[in-house]
Amino acid sequence: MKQDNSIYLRRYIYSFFIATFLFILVFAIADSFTHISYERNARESEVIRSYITDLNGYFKEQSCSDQLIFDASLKLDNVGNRIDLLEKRFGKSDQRVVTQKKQYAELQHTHYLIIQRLNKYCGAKFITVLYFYTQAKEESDANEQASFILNAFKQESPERIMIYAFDSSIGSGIVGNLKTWYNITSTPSVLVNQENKIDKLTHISQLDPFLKEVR
Amino acid sequence: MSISTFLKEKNCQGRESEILNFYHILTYILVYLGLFATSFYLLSLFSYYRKPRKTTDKKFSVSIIVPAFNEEKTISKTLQSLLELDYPKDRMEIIVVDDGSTDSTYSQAKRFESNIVRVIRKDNGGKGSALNAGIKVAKGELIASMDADSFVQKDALKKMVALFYNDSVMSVAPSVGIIEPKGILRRIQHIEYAMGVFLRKSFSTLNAIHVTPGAFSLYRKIFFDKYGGYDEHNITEDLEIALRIQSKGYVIENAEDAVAYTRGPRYFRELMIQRRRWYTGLARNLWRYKSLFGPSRGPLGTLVLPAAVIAIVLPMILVIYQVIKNLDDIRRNIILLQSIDFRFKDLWEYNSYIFEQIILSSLSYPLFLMSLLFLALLAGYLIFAKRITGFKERWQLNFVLFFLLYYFLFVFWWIVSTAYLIFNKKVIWRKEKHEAG
Repeated sequence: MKQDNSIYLRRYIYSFFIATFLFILVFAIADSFTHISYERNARESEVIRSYITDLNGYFKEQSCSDQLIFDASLKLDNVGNRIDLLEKRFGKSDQRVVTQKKQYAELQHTHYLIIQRLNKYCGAKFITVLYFYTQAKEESDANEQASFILNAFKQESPERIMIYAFDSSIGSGIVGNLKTWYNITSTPSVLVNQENKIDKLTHISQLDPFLKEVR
Repeated sequence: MSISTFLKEKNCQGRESEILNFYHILTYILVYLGLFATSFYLLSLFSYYRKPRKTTDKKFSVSIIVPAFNEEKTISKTLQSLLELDYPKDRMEIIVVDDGSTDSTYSQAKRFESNIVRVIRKDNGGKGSALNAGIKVAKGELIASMDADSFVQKDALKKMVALFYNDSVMSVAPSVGIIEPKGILRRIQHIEYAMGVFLRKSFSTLNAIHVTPGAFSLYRKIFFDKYGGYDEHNITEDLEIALRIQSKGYVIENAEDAVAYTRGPRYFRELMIQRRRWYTGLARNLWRYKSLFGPSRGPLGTLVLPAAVIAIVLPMILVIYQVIKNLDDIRRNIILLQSIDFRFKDLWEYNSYIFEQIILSSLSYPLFLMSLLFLALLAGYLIFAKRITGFKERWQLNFVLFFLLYYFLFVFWWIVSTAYLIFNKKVIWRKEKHEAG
């Protein structure tokens, strides 16, 4: 016995519209949450800017107090996390992400200068690590491994080891200047305490000699 | 959280983006089809409940056949539940077919022998052959098949018989629940069966039921007389008979408020054997009745059966991909951990980042929201099942277990069953029943 599909045709059409509506609604809700997150991050950008001002003021005062720099380090990490989330939602080439990363590079640079000053004039023993990378696909495995190692290295003394990651592909003037200044010609590249360049970071033991300074 | 973790996360994502796109596309297709099918089923249900229900007052004579093989632990309870059925006793007979049991099943059934209960004994030949032996001696206009480890609610038969409202209704299926759903696997089955209550009812509104549960189902005897009895070589005879009824153009109804309870396998091995039988049986029978696919068969051929196949194939691909990816992630993580001499100091920090990430970003991901949507739909199915059948069991924990584990189990069973099909390994009915004991 054959069945007549035409009696179900209207139901098929309704189902198509309901399913499509729900499907689009889900994306719309997800997009709304993404937008809320972006707005939140955009507000945070204002905080970043004011922090840059604070840090610059701090830099000018030539204070040897550690407290502000610890707070700044913490904030720096949080900003990094937020940009990471944004990048996941919008993609690495999204203009909003690139803009935030440029600001982030600026903030890191300021922080880095203060740490250098503390080391030089206050006898502090911060280890600084500059990490230069790009978004190139062929670098992804090396980046992943280097990042993992640097992360573990940071945990050896989170308050004394300062890691600054710079994305060379965002066209930031600050990143370009740093690369020129330290003669960084390839990526990924790691520079420890301004003068020790490691082009291929594959094992944490390559960083162990620097731990003596913080222990 | 440090800056390098931020880098690590980002780089991982970049490396896998192409595969993830493929994964996401498949998932979105599955989700969209799920939404489409569910909308269609819900609309059909609404339309069904808006109209008066078709029933008959005719009290058909019924022969209930209970095939039994080594069911000494359960046969007495099963027969007791049948004798307590709220149905005119002069209109029903119970035929126990002992299929060559090697335990005390026969003697236990014999204790119930009366003018209602008959016990016959035959050499072991499988469930189909036992049912056919019963049909051969049955006197009723309707034939009920009932597993010897199941029992029915008192009013189930009455409600089911009332749905033989015209000659085209060739079979009526009940709702099926799980007896004492305790233990992880039975809890998962409890939700699966409850979900089946919703689906079976939806399918019945479209005349698209393609399985009549072995636990308890009713058929017109005339169908067996005309088209032959159960296929004795078929490992899923209840599925085959339903597809045969559909292929002949008859109607299979569902009495959603008539409830039969069955004993779900308790242990993984038992369940595995059961599912292997079901799924290889399903694949073979769908192939055998492939003519049921297509527009000429209405929603059964255009939506229900194709959706069932897609709901098997796509999750299989997705879960296999996910498992391979997870194994690859473990391998990569081991390599990475080697590069830091397994300094686990880093792990807590890493986890706290993941936690933060979940909280902050989950609601931005369409797939997460779609999971929530399906969770809500699943909860809706369960509320429907509970309301219609009066299932008493608490389902909250079972629901969580089902949501977390079911698809992995489902895909695992299908992979094993597919392997059996590909290598043409023999799957038999008896072995499972015997081991399930």
